[in-house]
Amino acid sequence: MRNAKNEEIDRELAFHLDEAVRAKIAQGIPAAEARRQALVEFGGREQVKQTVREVHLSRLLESLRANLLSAFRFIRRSPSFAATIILTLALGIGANSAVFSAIDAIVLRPLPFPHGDELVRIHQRNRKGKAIEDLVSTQRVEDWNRLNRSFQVISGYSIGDVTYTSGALPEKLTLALVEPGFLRLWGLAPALGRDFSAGEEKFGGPNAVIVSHRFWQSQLHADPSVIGKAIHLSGLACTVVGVLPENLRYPERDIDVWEPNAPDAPYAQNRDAAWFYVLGRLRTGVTISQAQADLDAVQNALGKQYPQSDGSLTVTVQPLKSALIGAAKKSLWLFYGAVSLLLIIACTNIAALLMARTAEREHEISIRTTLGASRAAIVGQLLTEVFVLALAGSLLGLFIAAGASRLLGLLSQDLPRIEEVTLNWQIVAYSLGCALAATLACGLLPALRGTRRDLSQSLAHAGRTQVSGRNPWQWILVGVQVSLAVALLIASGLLLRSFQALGRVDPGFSRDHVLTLRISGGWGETVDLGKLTQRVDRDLNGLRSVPGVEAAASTVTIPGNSELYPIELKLPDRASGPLADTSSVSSEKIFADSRVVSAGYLSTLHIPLLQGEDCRSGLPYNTFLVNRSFAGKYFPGTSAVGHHLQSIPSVDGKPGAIVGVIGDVREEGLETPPQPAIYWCAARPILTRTFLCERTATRRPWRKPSVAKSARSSRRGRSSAS
Amino acid sequence: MSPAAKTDLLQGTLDMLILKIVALGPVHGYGISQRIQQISNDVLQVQQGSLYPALHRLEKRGWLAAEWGESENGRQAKFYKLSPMGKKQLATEEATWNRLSEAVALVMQTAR
Repeated sequence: MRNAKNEEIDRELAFHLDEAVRAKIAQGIPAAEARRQALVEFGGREQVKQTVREVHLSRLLESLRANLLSAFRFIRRSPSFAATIILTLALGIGANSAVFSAIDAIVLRPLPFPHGDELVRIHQRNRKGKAIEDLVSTQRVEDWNRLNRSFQVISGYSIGDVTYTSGALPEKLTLALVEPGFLRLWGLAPALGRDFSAGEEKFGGPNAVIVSHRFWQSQLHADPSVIGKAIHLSGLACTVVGVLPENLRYPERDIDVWEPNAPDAPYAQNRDAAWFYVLGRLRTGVTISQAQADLDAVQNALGKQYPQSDGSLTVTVQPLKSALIGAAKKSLWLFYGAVSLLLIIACTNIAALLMARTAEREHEISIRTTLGASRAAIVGQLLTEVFVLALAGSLLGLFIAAGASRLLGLLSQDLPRIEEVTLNWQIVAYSLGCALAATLACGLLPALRGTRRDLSQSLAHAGRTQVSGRNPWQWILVGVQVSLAVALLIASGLLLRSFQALGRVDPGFSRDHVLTLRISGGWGETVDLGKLTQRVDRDLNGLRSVPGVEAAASTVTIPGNSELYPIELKLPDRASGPLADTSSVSSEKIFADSRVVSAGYLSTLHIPLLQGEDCRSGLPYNTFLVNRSFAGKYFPGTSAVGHHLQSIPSVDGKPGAIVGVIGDVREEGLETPPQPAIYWCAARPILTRTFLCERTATRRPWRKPSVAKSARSSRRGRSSAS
Repeated sequence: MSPAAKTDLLQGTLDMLILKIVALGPVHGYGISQRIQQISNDVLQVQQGSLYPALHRLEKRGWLAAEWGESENGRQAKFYKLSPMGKKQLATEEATWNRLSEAVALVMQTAR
């Protein structure tokens, strides 16, 4: 475009010069001399060209300046109208930019690691039965690492509680037990110190930990000399060898300390001893499907080698990002759709306003047209007016977006990667893009309508006050606006309705007046189960003695906490039992969710006992409660009480008796129907995390100090968290 | 052609002269400069550095329309002609000019 113009100027000037030379030759001047004279008379040719070019440039700037001036005049003349448009757009663009900033950070941007797209999550599934066996044994992780050809490294982690006893008070920490190569997997070096050494990753090697940046700041006073010093974790002295960089919030954001797991430890040799979630880093250039095929082959070979443990297992490779953001992605896009619809409604609204406005200005426009302004010039002027408003709106919108994304961060802390949501230049550019799009969406139709060809004629015979209320376009805009608003209302109404429906779902237990707390333990304690049971009993008795506490109980998982412990069961007396005719389920393996609860669990959470009796202390460990779903499914038409269950692998080889049937509890969340579940009657935990629940007589503020004091008095060196 | 006779054109006068010349019929830039020089008996010589920017400015304002065509000796040249708006503009400028020059002449004569 520009070049064509330049060339045209060139040609025009060359023609002039040639004509001058010809004229001189015609006067009898020799050709060379004629040309010299002509050039001298012409003056600096480049200079002439430049001045001509400036004419074009300054005309462009002039019209832009004129349009801007007219836009400011427009704002000054009707400030309330302008303010309405600016505010509407600010809200629309602000909400849109805020949600987009979340989508950008969470869904669109790669994970904040070198080559973050190479990181994958490796899931393990059991082909038989529907249980997801996502926990993988050390030996299998080692085998995968050794046999695959498509991964740089495969590693795993396991999360547990540990008690930090080097501080003033015992503190519960979140510990990640990690397989060798875990830090290498992220492609990160520690911010301070070093990675675990090979010796520390061997059984019997020195106890070493790497601490998180947050823990280093809060508990170790950000002291760089802490490297090489020992801290005490659950009674063990561990040397701090490194501090992680601040931005490592994966795989879970609140991990405090990292400890190596020794693959050669005797307890890690069993292929069924599974406690690792597995992550991997692909070799450069390897695709997910190639890695999947490779790992499929590896696991197939392992299945043949170890049919007992590996025969029915399959693996799935999933990009880590999609594994992390999971369902959040869908809700974010839904949210984005809603705010975009809102912006469109705002735009149609503004378009209708502008259209009415342009109708009022018909007179002005027709005069300009008669005076020779081209339609494009007038449309340009009208659009510039809208653009100035939209620009102001989007700048105001950025402030709204900044506030909104902070609010979003506060309200949805469960959202993965929420810490990475920031307002950056991309978002500024995005909102400017919104302003531009809004200008076209709001302004183009009114501008085109307002400058129709027949307008100048309308000036001739219509009175100067003709403002038409019969504009069909205005009705169309109102229609669009109303239908979009109705769509948005219906969608939000449906969401509200689902929410309301959830509120009406009977969770199966009563939440009121129930307080929960968590007490840490150590694997070391599981050596003496009797002592462990005594300890939990002592804690519970301490709680029960706190004034106002009506009932207290322990459990390994509380309702709403989504940690599930699915187990495999046999019903040994099922085949010979009174219902042998419905033998479809007879002695075959069945799966159920499992819980370990102490006496008093039912009365603490107000779960109804339907048949039989509650857990009480003194019953053998192999005593079960089952829920109504379990009883209905496996003992239809008869009482489940008195029948026996055997877990696989069994605890002590003997089946245990069902002593009671209780109501269904929606433990995995209100939207999930209750599954068949069994409850082990035992005070002692099977894991290092134990929840204590207490029911108080009145609704009152959480009195953690008194409860924590009671728990502390029962044992030193143990932390509790509400 | 005495160089001393060369007179600087009044600001804005060149535009009027161009419009006037172009009003006689489609003409290219070289032709315009030649004609101004001839008609003014060589008193007015238009510099290329003023002529072409003025032509483009007038074209941009919509007073002149331009078109490439064949010159008298068969070469491609850019021809300018007056637009309806240009015609109106010329009339306005001529009126203003006449009023101005009459007024100036009156003052000069009376004050003699």
